[in-house]
Amino acid sequence: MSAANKREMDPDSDTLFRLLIQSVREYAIFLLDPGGHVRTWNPGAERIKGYRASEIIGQHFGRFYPAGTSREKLDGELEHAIEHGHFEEEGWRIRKDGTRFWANVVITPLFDPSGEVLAFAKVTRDLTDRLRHEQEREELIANEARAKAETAARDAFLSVAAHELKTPITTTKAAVQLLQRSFRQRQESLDPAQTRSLALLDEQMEKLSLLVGRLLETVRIQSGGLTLEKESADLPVLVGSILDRMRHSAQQEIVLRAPPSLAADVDTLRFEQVVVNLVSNALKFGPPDQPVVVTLEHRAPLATLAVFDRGPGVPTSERHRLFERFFQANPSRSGMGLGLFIAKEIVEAHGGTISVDFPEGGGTLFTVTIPA
Amino acid sequence: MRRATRIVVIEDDAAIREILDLALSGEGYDVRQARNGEEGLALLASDGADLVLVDMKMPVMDGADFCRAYALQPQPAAPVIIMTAASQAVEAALLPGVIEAIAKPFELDGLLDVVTRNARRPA
Repeated sequence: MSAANKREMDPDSDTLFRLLIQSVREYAIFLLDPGGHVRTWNPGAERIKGYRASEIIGQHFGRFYPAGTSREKLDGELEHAIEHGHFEEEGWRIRKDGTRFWANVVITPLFDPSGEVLAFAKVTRDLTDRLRHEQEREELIANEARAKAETAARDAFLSVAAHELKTPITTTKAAVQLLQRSFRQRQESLDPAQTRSLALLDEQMEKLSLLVGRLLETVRIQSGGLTLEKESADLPVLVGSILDRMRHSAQQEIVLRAPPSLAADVDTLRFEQVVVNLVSNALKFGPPDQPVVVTLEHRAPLATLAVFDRGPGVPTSERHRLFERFFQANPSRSGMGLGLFIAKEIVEAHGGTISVDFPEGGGTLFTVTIPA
Repeated sequence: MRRATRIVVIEDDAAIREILDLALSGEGYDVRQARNGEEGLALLASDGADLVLVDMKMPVMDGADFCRAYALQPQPAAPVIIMTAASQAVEAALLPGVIEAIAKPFELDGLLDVVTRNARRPA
């Protein structure tokens, strides 16, 4: 086919242009007469606004605006378009069914050669989805900011509360110990109930003080304040002495399996917290007649500490939350859900890892590794 | 007769002041109380002391400022034992004149040991 023939078969540009307008569904493209009445309509306009051509041609474009829109505003838009060659705005428009949509509207005047307005071209886009996304994003950002502020407020509260609690704990502890001391010095004999009561007071104040300490610790970690003072330590000796102290109040047997020596650079006080938190968890959840087994091993370049109990474990659905702060595997048991959170932070500050396994045969196995 | 060893307790919490007074008096010490660093300095200037027990966190003048000010006093300064949260113990122990830091909440027996070990013998 020759080029000339092909050109003859091409539709003329008017036809092409009409096809363009009739094919665009994303934009409402239509003409208004100089008085603002709809003259043409396209499928995009029908899709966005809901009117068929036969229903809307001849109607004033004010129909697309929310009820109560003044005639001055409508005329003003056309006058602005004539004066500046263009009018554009974003705003609410109304569909045939009365629902509203967020529209981007552009009005362009079409002039004849003498400068008379022949018509206005009106192009409208439905931006409701974009507006909704923007609003959702803003809401998301606002929610995040609010959550952050709430966390900060809670941390501030916890910090103040913990500090305030420490003072009466200090006094009460000292008062109990003063009583014990003076009875001891005067060699007055107390009956078993009195002796036990004083011991309970002392013991429970110690527990309270530990809990308050953990709260403070958590707030400090959360605000990035965990600093380590590392020194070289022999882990079997360190862990052995910690476990010796824990055996006094433990119902269960605590077994330590360790090599004769295993040196690592640790912050001994912090590392003790890790051991105490893991072992006291194991004691808390393990059955009273089964030992808690603590294993130390050297797997160069790492030292591993494993704590195993034969307790019920943790439901699969909750395992991923184990190391979150304030998570409690069993909310009916005492505790604040801070022990594992603190342990994880301390281990990670040492450049180590902490993980949990639930072996086939049952029980819970916590494994800590640190560079050794 | 030699006077009793004098201990100035500087602590903003009345209950802690009282229990320390009870415990130390019971051990035979002469205890004087102040509610903050400023009161403590005034009390030390008038009465003197063989040992100072001071809290870290206090209104008006805290323990750290007290230690710095007390170290500048012309008369021989008594040793200072500072009572603080465990997290601040290292920082507190490095203050001028401080010979020992005790973490709150303290063990009474331990505190009394530290006091016995460090109190100057009265002139």
